[in-house]
Amino acid sequence: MRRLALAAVLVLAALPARAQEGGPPPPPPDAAALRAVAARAVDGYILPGYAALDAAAKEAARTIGAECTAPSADQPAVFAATFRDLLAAWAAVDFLRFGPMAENGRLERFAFWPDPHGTGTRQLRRMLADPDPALLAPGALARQSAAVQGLPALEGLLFAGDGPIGGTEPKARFRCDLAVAVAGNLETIAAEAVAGWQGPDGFAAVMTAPGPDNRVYRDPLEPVTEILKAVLLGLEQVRDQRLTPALGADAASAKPSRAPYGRSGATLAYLAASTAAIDRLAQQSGLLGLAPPAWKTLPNAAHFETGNVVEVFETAPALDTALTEPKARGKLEYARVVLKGLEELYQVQFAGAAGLSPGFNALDGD
Amino acid sequence: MAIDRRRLLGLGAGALAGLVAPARFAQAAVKAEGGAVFVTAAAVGPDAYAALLVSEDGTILATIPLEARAHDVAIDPERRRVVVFARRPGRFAVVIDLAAHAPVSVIVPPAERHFFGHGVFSPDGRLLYATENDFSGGGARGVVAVYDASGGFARLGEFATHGVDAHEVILAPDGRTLVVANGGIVTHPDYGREKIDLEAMNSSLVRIDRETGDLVHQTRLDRSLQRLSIRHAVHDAEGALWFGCQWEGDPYEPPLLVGRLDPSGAATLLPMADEDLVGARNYIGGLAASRDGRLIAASAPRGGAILLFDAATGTYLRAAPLADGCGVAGATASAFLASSGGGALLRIDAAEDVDAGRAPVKFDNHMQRV
Repeated sequence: MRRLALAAVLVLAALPARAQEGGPPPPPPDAAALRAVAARAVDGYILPGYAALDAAAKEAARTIGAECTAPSADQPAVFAATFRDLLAAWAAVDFLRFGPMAENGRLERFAFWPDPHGTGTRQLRRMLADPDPALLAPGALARQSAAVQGLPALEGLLFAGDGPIGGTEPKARFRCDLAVAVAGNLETIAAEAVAGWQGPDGFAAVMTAPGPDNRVYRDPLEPVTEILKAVLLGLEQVRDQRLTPALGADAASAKPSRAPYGRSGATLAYLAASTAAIDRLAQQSGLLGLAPPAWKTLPNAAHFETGNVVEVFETAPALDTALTEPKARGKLEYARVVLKGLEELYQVQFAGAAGLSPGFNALDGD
Repeated sequence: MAIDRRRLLGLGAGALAGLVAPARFAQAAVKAEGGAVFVTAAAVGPDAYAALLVSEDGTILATIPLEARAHDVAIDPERRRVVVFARRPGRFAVVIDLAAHAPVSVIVPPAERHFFGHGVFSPDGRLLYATENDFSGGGARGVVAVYDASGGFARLGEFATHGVDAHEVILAPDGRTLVVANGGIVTHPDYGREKIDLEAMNSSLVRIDRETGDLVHQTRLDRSLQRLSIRHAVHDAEGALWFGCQWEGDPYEPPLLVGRLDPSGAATLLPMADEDLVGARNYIGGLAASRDGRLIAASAPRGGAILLFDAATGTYLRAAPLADGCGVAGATASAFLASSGGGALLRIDAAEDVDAGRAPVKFDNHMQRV
């Protein structure tokens, strides 16, 4: 375990020494290079990401709808596959907290989490106890609490573990129809995000045309800083808000229920998809290429370390075991160390070398 | 003041405890003579945090290592001790003897409480008040904890702030009333710094009688501003209360971020230049008053500016650019010293900004003048 963590540190240490502390920061990269990174992030990652999310939500609504009409023999497997695909599409964009998803509460409506008081579960129980067909009308759920609008609600409806849903039995049918309504709501939100990025006034245009008249991005540095902040937030989110709460201090205090998407058994797949997505954004955009030539190993180092974390999540046993069985738990703890190292790679080494400043106070304020 | 400063700096030279190189310190002490001394939390290296005493030209007079990132600082009325609070959801507050430049105690809150990063001494210096999160039973109740600053900083009790996310606590000019900004955003240490359920946000500015713990008054903003979190506060020369906010609503529809209470306790958000408001990026990191209380500074680290207001009229004056600038303290009657995450210090008054030096550290959110 300790040896693995050490290996991670060594790869990071092999990078050039950090610029002298306290000296004037290096000049930011030239405007053309910055614009190119933003354009590649938008065209090569963000737009396809939201399009894929929209498609996955449509597919989920269709698949679940078919199960409502005629439940299949392998319904649990159908739901598991559908939910996992939708979650993977979400993991690709859930750390992007800018653009249309940051408006109208779309982020929290798409995935209301954490929900330590079980608000979503409680409200769903109430809806199921007293079925109201009006809730199934298009747009009706969007007016309800965020806790019943998104992925955690969909998971709660699909993975109750008490038999198939849909068919002709009214309660089972309403539960299934409500799941279709949630999937439809997700589809609406994703479609709004897609629309919001497109067009002459869309966010793609905003992000790729910084300047004094741009109300969001005043210079070419700001869109790139936004992308770097997303990478950092994504890494912190996986480590500090998804993995650490479940890990607890030791095996005895591990709490699988604190991890997201445990009911569908998709937690580790979600963490793997999230971690891989962060690396994909960095690689697609060429973000790390903004560092001077002496740092040309940076993209490979980041890719290698991210791959190690993804592998841990992908090869881990079921969550309960992964959190408690000593060897498996050791690997998750290793992943946590590497994630922290990656944050430092981006925030300290890369940002310092490239002359970017994600900000110390601005990044994660109080 | 002069005597205090001599005592602070003179005694300090003999009791360095290896924290600062003596030669460098002696030189710094000479430089600082006649100048103000500031205290702030900072990052001093990758994953290395400290409380710093800094002269107004950026010379680091003392470095007191801390186990993790800290936030604001409370200064006792005699200026002999300061208390540096952990950043939320941290669970330490370090009491530092200014003369010795050394930590003398560490305050740890009870189980199921963590600090929110802010605190203030009573006028006689015998009590220390700190905002804390009571997360017992999975909840998130704001409390002001009362610690015995006359002895070993035993926890004497706590009172409710009638809100959640109790952030900055300051003392009103009457010496008896505490003002607490309840940020209104539920967080729980199990989920790090993640914000839980913004739909349920409920921010308020409360006045609490520190002798009885009674709620004297509370101010809420208009319902349309439900996503506006009031987090920082300061009084001006007339005793009017100013507050600074962060916006958790639609990022591209920014509301006003700095406000003032009228004598009845009603809040008015103050207009400012649209370009500077948009530039502030929905986020005020801290507030300060000039020593004469006639100027108010609000830091906007995300926007990279310090915003200045005229206290008497509430008029917005101008923005002083400072990338990642967040710490701001009244330095003289009419000027501020501001600090940044890049280690820069900037001296700001109503008319101009002057580069005030740079230190090889990342200055954290808040800075106070000793």
